Amino acid sequence: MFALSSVISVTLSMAMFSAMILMPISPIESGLLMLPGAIIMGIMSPVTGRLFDCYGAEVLAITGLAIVVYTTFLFSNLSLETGYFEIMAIYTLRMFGISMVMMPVMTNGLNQLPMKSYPHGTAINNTLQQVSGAIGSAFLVTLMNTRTESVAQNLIAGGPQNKRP
Amino acid sequence: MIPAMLEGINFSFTVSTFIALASLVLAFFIKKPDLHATEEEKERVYKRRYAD
Repeated sequence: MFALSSVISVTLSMAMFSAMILMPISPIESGLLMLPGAIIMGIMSPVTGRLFDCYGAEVLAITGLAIVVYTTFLFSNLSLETGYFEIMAIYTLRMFGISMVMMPVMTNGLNQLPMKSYPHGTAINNTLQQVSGAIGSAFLVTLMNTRTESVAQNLIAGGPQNKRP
Repeated sequence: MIPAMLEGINFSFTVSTFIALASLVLAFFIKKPDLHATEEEKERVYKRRYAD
């Protein structure tokens, strides 16, 4: 169960950190865009703790991840008409979903370990999160650049493919 | 160049959606831990699984 919680936390970190890097706006705008999401995460921490005590990690993780999947899907349909506040709202909702997953899943995994292994478990989780965040960002930014390059070449060549309706 | 970049970002988020979907599938395997288990019982399970 600890291994499962670590794997979930790894995949979620890959998705989470990449969204912060992929936003194509200025640093001040992207900082302001992420502010409500960070505030929501801070507010939700104690609330999620209580919900975890009542319902357990499974319910919270499934609900939170469903929100994350939906909001990430919304991010995959960005267009030139998508407004700044629309992106902010989606990102805030996404962070709300992440706050429902991260802490309960990690706590659930740590609860399986004997008490003397808690420091090791926490260290493993923190390390995996940082490493997976770095790998996920690198992977998704590489995908973005490769795709941008190929679409740009097609557009320059005047090809009809990859044009959005 | 901007439409091409947007296409790249959207593609990247599509892959990210599938990563999140993989996490969602894994979440269905989460089980509630036995909170009443004593330290000895936890230790025994831990040793049975991970010890040499």
